[in-house]
Amino acid sequence: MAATFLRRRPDSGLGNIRASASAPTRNIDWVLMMAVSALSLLGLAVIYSASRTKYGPGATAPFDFQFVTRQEIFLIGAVITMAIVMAFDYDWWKDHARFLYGATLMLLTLVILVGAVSGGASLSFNVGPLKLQPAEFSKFTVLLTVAAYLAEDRSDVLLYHRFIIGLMLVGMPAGLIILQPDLGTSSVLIVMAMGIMLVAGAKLRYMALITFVSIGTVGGALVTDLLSQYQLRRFTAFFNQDSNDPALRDYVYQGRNAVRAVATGGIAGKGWLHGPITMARNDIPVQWADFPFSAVGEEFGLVGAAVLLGLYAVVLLRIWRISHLSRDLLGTYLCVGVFSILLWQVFQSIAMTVGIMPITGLPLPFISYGGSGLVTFFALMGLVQNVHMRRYR
Amino acid sequence: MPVARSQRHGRDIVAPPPPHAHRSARGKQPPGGFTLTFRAGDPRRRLVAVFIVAMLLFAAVVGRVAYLQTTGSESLRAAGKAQRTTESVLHAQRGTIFARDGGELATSVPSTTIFANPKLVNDPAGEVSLLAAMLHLTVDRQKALLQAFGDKSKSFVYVARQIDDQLANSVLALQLPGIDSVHEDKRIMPSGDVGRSLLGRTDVDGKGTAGLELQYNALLTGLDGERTREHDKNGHSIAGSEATTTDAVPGDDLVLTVDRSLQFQVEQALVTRVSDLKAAGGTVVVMDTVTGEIYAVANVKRGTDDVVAVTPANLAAVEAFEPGSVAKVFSISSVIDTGTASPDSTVQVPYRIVFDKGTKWETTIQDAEQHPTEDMSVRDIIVHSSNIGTLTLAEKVGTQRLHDYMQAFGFGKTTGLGFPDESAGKMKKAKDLQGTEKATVSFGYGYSATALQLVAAVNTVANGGVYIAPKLLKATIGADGKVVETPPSETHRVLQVNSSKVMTSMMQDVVCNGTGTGAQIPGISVAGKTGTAYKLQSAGDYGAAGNRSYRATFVGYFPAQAPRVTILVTIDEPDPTSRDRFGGTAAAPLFTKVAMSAIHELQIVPTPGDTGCTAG
Repeated sequence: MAATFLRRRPDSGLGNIRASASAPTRNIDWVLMMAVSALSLLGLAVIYSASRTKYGPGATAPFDFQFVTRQEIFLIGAVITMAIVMAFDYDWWKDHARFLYGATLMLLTLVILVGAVSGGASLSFNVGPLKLQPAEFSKFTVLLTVAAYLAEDRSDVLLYHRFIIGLMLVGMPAGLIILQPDLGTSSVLIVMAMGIMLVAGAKLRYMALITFVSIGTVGGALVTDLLSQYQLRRFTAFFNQDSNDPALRDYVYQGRNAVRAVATGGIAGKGWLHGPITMARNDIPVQWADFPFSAVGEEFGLVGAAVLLGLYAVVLLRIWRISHLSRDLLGTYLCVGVFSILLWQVFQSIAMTVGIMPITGLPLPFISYGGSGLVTFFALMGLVQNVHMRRYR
Repeated sequence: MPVARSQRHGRDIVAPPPPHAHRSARGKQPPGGFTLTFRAGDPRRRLVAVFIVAMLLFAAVVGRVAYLQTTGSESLRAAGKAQRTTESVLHAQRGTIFARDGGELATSVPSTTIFANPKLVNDPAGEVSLLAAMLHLTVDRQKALLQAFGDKSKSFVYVARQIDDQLANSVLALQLPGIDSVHEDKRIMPSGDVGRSLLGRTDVDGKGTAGLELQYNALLTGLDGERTREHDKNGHSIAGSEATTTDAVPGDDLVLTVDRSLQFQVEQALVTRVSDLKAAGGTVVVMDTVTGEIYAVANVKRGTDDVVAVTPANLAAVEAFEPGSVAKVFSISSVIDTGTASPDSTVQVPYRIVFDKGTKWETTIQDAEQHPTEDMSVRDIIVHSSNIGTLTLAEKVGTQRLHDYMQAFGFGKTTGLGFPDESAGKMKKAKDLQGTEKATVSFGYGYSATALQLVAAVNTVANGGVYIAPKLLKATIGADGKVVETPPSETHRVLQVNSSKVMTSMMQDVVCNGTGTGAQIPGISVAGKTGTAYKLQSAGDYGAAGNRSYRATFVGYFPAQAPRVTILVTIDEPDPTSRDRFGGTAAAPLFTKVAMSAIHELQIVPTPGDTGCTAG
């Protein structure tokens, strides 16, 4: 099947059904595909640059190719996942959404109970060499579920009960993710829901309510001890960027260094593998996953940042276009959901790097190191391609 | 794919139109693609809303990134710099002060300062007693340190400044908590106290506070460097970060006009002479007649402990006194230069003159030794230092003209050395002179001058009538090793060449036949003038006979025909009961001694045919 993705069969005239112009395999959005590929390859370059000089705890040798090699493998897995997602009609995915959703809730519950703890949070299952993060996969399944549920009602107005039930569909996994605690990923789910509901015809007061609820949740998480200390400190650090409080120092420091890395990149950047802050041992912790944009900014400068943002713009515009092209609401909602997720993560990840948002560990789509995230984003791209491919069915 | 399976936007589409059909139907069919024409239905407009939100978020990020990477970076770097960078000052070494022969008079040597951070000191009493034993701290110092170590709000206190490196190392080897060291230069005078009053001193921070150290502080100080180092949160340098080092530029070295050896000999001779005379102090200045360069300046004073020692203050520049009879050189010069009288013209000179007789301002002026009213030649007047004769002649020149000459000789204003606290002396304007002052200025009362002013004024006669400003700084040596000679001293003509020659011949007579016979040098003609001034008493007058104090002065130059050096010797308050309280007896013999040293050190040879006074 993969071959037909790449090779357009000659239209052999009448009777060649497979060569039909409306055949799904002939309606892949190659512009989107290319932009995503370019981002992923740029991601490999950035991960290599940001991790090769650094050391793991107690390690005697730097990571060198370790992370970039793993990311290459993830990338292959992600492409396969995307192909699988594209292979089945999105209606098929919709029909199976409830199973996926149920599985997701189960995994999210399990990960809190038995997940591997890192940095005070229980985010992943360790399966052999892999760390599976169900929260990442939940973006895909929750999106599918909410879009499917809202698209059931073929109306331009979002009814109140659908709004509430939709909110609960998002709220349950989002709540479980907050419990991990991972404020960033749950915010992604909420923003995704907001995007879909906005397009689904939510009244303004529904939007206000969902905004209020999410802010309330964040506030509540901050006040209660739900958030781990480090997340709380990242928040506090953002609002006290000149603080000398030793408890906040690390967070203030890493944020500053990230901003500084971007700022010192200047117009042309310092060149790939030539960023002093990026190469420094521990100026920006986990830079390859949490602050990849700082490496882009430092090493490729404004030019590189513009190229990166341009690629995201292309991806977002293509998704927006596909949501617009879709002939059914499910397709539109799915695309809007992906659009919202992508937009929010790109915005949040870059904004925290340049110091205009608090630091959350949200990965920069396609660029950040991380298998779960990469696979999820390729699955989401698969959904978008799916809608595009089958818009003439 | 059956149409019924799809959930459409509230309407059925009969068949999936192929793309080309779709394109051809653009007018009627709602097109896909990136366009703002929408099919009917709310979701489409809402998609635009999503798009706008996306644009805004994107714009915020793009704007911020572009700002950071262009204009924002500078201010950001500056703002973060303070917290991320450590700036350490690289101290510039203070310049060395050399004598003209290259000998070091004052130089900075590396030493170590021990300091403590009281916050880290956990056993104040124990550490203080250890430090006290090693550094020989006084009891008071120990108490102060103990108190300082107990004050945990401070993080810096000096323990011992500028101590020997080895001692410091042995203290540091103890690794006492909170005790650390820093390198600091120490100012030392390798030649001992030689030239001390000229050099002045520096404070403990190496800043000039007196003398030449103060005057040329800016030159000597140099430019401190700075090492700026960016560090991470643990204080480690950030690899490849913008660590910059601005090297310190050492201060310029100074080369003085002072001859170290001569300076030493002069100081020693002066100390001996002042001790012998039981005097309060004295000053000697040796000046190059032609260039104005000062070869030696010695100032000594009897301390409260009755020991005569070189003073820290350069009295030659800062202390003004009434010159007394030496000043007759200037008034007689004006007499000769204006043509008022020739050396052999005679005037009638009584022993004493009473001014303002019968008024409350009645003043008597008389000569030092009683004599009948007689006709004296100008030469006799200066040779025998007649007050009455001098004032009679000066009267003929006129107060204003005499004043103009005095000014040209350099009185009433500083010499241009720029020495810190240098005195300009006091000289009234001609029209402000009152009563007998008009007369007394001609023989050295009623105005004051520093030793430097006085030597420069007499030097004018020696230098063929051309005043040359004294000079102490011969050259500077920059950090690059380049020697920059200072410009020659400012000069101006005061007397005609002939007048100066006439004056010299009369002043030779002073030494050979007059009051200054004590200043003779065998085989070399000396020209000079003695002065024995009554010192102004605290009561405001000069005291009655038997209750006076004196300042004995001799200023001379040699070889008379082509003078090389001008030397001033002044002895402050020689024993008033002794015969040796006069310029000719207290100061002139020291002149000879200093002259002999100068002859050796400066290799002065007699002018051919010169036999001194003997052949005369």
